[in-house]
Amino acid sequence: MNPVNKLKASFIFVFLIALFLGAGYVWWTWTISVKTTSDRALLIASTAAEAMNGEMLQQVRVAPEDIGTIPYESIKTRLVSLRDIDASVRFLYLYTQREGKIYFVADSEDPNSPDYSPPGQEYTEADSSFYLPFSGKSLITPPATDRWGTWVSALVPIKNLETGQVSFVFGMDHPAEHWNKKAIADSAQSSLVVLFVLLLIGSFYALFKNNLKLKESEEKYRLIFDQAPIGIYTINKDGFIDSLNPKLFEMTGAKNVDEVMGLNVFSMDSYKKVGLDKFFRDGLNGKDFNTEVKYVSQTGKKETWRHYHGVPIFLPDSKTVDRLLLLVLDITKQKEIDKAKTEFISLASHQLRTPLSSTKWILELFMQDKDLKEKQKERLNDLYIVNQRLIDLVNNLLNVARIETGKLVANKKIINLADLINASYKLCKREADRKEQKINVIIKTEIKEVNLDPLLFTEALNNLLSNAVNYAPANSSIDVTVDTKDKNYLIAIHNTGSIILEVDQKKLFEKFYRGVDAQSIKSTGSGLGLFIAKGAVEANGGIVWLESNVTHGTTFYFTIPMR
Amino acid sequence: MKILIVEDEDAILKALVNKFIGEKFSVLQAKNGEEGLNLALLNKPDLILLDIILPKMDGMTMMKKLREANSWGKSVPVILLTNLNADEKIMKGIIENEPAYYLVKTDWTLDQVVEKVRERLSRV
Repeated sequence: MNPVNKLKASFIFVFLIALFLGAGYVWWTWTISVKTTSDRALLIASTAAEAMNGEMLQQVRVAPEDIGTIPYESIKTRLVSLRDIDASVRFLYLYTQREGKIYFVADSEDPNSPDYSPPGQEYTEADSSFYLPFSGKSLITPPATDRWGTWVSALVPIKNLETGQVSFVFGMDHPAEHWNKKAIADSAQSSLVVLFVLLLIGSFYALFKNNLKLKESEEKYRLIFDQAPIGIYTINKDGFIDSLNPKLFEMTGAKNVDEVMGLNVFSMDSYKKVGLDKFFRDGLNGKDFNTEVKYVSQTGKKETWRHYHGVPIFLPDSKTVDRLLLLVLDITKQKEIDKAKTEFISLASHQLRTPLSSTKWILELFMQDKDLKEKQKERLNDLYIVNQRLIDLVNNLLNVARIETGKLVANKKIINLADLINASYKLCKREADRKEQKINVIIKTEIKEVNLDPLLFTEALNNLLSNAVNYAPANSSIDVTVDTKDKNYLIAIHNTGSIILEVDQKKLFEKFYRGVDAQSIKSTGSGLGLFIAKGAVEANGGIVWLESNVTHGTTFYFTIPMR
Repeated sequence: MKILIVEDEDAILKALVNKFIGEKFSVLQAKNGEEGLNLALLNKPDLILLDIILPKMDGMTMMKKLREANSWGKSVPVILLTNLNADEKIMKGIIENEPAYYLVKTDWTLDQVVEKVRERLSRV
């Protein structure tokens, strides 16, 4: 059973006991209160009855003739004065029993009052309890209704002092509606106490439950945080590390938590290497952070790679950054696999080149054979073109492998930029002519000699220009513009035809990515061209980007540093 | 003109030999670095077409030994004809041993190779 359910069960148990005890207490209060009232009423009635007893009472005849006689008037006076003393009593009276009927002897009422009962009048509404006192017992009747109202009566037998026989009964009527007033008040009071106690128990339960849930939740997240197989730490708004998990601790190689906890991200060189100071600035503005960092062991033999992924943590208003969360993943294994994969591609590509170059040269020799018929030459030429495409593909794969292993190092030399552009123009012109496209080379600035790797530059420009030719519609024109921007040459390859969707724009330079439309225009693309173009431009120290919209068409830009 | 072709791949070797004979060259051929080095030192060809990946002794080692062997070996023009992309190690060898050209086979037609050889030989 989980702790919350356990608590709930205990609560229900305690609550039921409290309810049971509380009900008992209220019942007990009621009973005691009723008994006290009855005892008091009986005591008063008995005392009063004593006062009624004596010679005078033995002399009444219980008939209208009693009116005006000394015994009757004396008793009546006593009844009236007793009634005036006790405000809780409405009627006081004496009655007797003759031949099974009840007759009034005297009452406390004025003869002119409508409530007055003359001596000897039968009390026809008397119920069975009115006969009980004749057996010698005092009692309190249950509420009974007669022509005057509803009453609870205290009835006390009056015994003949000589014979000990009960000849009269003294009665005091209390209005029934007032009778239980005290008991009700007492019970209400005790009920309030019980209710208060129950509420108290309920509140305690709610409090305990919340506390328990909070503890459970805290425990849950603590376990996740502590056992997560990635390094996690948080940085507060002042740049101090304010929490970290054991995995991170293990990764840093620190001896105890205090070596890392409470450090400022600006204070350590190792954090600068990761670029945490930059993440701190960007993160507070709501930006994510991703970086891969290589660590080499002191002996220089072991390489480890870490991926740092930083995200800002927002307050519930989702606008204010509360702190920064940094996840640290060990990606050494992935890097090794990736490296092995790239090396395999590189090796396989080199191996593939041998049969491809054999085929290329054998075909070349074959095609120069003078005995060949025109038709045969044509077939061989087709074969030659197919082989050449395979060579291009393998070369592309090799380039990708070189970019990925960082082997694409620019072999820079001083070179004439115009010549390189012209060479690319010539290469693409044939296909452009076939599609009746026009390529305009526009030089907007004075071109000096530049220091760059001509092969990489040509690779990039060929890729971008042949893309423009391939994807722009027939009869359109393509502009290659050379301009300056800051301290770079800016080369723009523009066409008005093909538009690159916004979803494609971000991913277009990734390897093997092909735009949605690109696939329908030209199905044979490898998805490597732009990846290679980007690698080639960057190896030459430039950047590449694109702009594409319906009004202006598509333009690919890349830069090369002037010096 | 006498040239030496060092190439271990039969089909390529055959294509090159046929081409150069067709172009009126006198052709020597070797299938590994050791054989190539011996033939070169013995026959002193005017130019050597050299592959890099070779059995017994690779092309870069053969070139190094040739340059160290004698004054003829030091100056004979060498064209590296290979399928490898030049990595740092190869680049270092190229700078030290000054071959005439570094040609990636798939990037060149036979006609262009012949043209390069003629161009280099005409420079003396």
